[in-house]
Amino acid sequence: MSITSPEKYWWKPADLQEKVWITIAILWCLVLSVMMPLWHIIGTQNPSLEPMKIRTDDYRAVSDAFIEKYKVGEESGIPVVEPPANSDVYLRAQMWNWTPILKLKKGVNYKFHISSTDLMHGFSLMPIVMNFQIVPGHDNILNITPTEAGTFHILCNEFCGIGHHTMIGKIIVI
Amino acid sequence: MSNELEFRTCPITGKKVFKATQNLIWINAVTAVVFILIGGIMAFLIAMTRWPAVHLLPAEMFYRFLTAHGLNMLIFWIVFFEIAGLYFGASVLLNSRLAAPRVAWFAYILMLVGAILVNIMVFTGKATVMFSSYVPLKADPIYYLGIILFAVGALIGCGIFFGTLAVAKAEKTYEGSLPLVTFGLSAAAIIAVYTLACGAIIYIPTFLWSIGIIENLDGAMYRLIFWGLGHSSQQINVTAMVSIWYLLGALTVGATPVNEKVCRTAFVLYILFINLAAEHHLLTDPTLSPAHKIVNTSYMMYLAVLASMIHALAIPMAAEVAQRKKGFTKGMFEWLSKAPWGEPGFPAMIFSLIIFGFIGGITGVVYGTEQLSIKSHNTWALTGHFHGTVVGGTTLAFMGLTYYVIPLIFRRELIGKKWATAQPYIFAIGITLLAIGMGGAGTLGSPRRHWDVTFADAIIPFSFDPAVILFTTLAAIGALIAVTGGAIYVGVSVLSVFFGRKMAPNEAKIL
Amino acid sequence: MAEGKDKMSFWQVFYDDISLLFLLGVVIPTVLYIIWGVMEYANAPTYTPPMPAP
Repeated sequence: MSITSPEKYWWKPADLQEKVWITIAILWCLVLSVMMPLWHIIGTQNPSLEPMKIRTDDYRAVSDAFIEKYKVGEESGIPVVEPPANSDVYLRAQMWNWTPILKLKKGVNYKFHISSTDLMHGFSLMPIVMNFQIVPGHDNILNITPTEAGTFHILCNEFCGIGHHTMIGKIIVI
Repeated sequence: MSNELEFRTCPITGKKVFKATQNLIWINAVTAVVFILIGGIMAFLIAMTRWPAVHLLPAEMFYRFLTAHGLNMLIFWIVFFEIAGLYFGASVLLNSRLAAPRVAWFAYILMLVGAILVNIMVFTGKATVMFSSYVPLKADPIYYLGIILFAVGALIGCGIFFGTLAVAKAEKTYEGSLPLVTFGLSAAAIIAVYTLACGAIIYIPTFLWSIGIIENLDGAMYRLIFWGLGHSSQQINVTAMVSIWYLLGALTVGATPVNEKVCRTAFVLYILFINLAAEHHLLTDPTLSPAHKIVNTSYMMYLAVLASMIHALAIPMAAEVAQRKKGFTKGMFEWLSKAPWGEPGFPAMIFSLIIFGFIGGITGVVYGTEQLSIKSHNTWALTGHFHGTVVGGTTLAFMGLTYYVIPLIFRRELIGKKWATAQPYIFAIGITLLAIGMGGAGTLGSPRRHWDVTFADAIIPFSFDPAVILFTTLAAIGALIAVTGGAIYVGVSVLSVFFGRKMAPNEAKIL
Repeated sequence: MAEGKDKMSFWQVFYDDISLLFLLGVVIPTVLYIIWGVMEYANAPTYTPPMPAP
């Protein structure tokens, strides 16, 4: 019984069924283990690969400068920005909005720098459901190429205070 | 102290039950039930708020009660019960007196004071920071102090467990190796020591930061070490739960492990590698390298997953062998159909195993891959995953065990045996619906920790695919059923412990 | 006991040694997860962003 001590010598060979099951399980574990590094080579969608910290004041300054330079309008009090192709894009998470609203072009690569100037936030791109943790003091760097046109929304999925559920951003791809 | 050595002999198992151990198991288990009651009321309120058709609480109360739900369930209910389980596994199963019962009482008081401080802070709105309390979101210093006191108390409890193992060995109260259940609980206690140490490493600086002694804490570093506590505490649950599956197997059908080597190897793999899984929370974080993510999130080549796969074979196999020995040999499945489905322990064990493995475990392995985490991180699907593991798995196993602890250790006859028998079925159905609802809505992008998935107040208009609302409704219905099951559990166990008929010293009856 | 130990499998002795398992169980995650992770955060470069020309 599992509530009493086993016999004195309990190190005994497993029987056939156990061996078969464990072998299958080990093979499956190996397949899983190989998959993740392999995807870095053959896949295209990976989390941020560039380690980078950034002071929140610096981040606020650079994203403000970015907004001022490429601003094309305003919507719901939030600036609308149209950055050029292949440029650095600064998307700032703050209580409780995603600034700015971005206008991007389909098939063009952008280097996103997403960070926060206050608390942690959760970047959640809808409706395709891609999620990243946004941490103040760290730059979440993602190379993004939009592959279809349309309006995308960004939810916040990390609790960031009482207005958390109102925090929504927008990306328009043309 | 003479009464430290006072004991009775269990008429069913022949084990020595020391009075001091019995009292400590009693107080820890009863306290655990008080916290599941608080957490359960919170569960009802937040589920009814999350359901757009009801939307019960205002936002402030929702976030406050959600914080309370997480802490009371994930930490207080489960850890108090585990401490009771550790004392049982070391003292009762090894026929040994408990090492230092007075220190164990001191540990209990530290844990209780910590838990009460945390609850006061959360309910008065001074610590609406969620279970994870990510810096720079700040709570009242007393909140962090409460967590530290609780963790120190639990750490001392683990020390009592290891001390008792040493006492039993020195006084030769058992021969040869530890019983498998005690070995499994040792694995849980080892995991717990690492876990609680991580808690100390992160909460002490956080406490100093909250009173202004430390100026800056890096949020990403906080997440790294916090999840060494937050996720690894769930690995204590997994390991304790698996030990309890073996225990319930023994109590309900007399199951004996088919091969001790195989079962123990699985526990050793847990000890060595399961704590690496804290990485699952950090996969979409900035700065951390893919190498760190891949090595850790794979539990070192999935060796801890291999351990779960081994237990998933070994436990039903042991039950099958035991049943076949009793003569239930017809066809492939007579052993299963003639199993004791009419007493609470067996269905609790089987449902716990199925929900843990098929809902909690598989989603955990899938969401815990570096790239797929992008699809699930911080969505409600994650909430569905851990309701499969911690609620459908651990909590259900603990509930099933309670119905045996009451007659065996507390010597009280159960009140409402029919309710107790129905309870695992009701709870399992509820949690399954809840987890599926959360998983479905989360896969479509519904965020976790969110007051209003209809986004009525949002600055930029947005609405979900209507399927999200459908799945949310399913989850809410599941929550109602599960809360009913939880209420039956609390009712039966509290009534039985306080008002159940006292059993005669030699009464050899479980249910 | 001494002669019993001789016949005992090395692995059985190892599995019975709770303190050794304890040590390994604490050291492995501390090194692979905590220390490695803390070093990565501590050594990550800090980005000084190039300001876009006004």
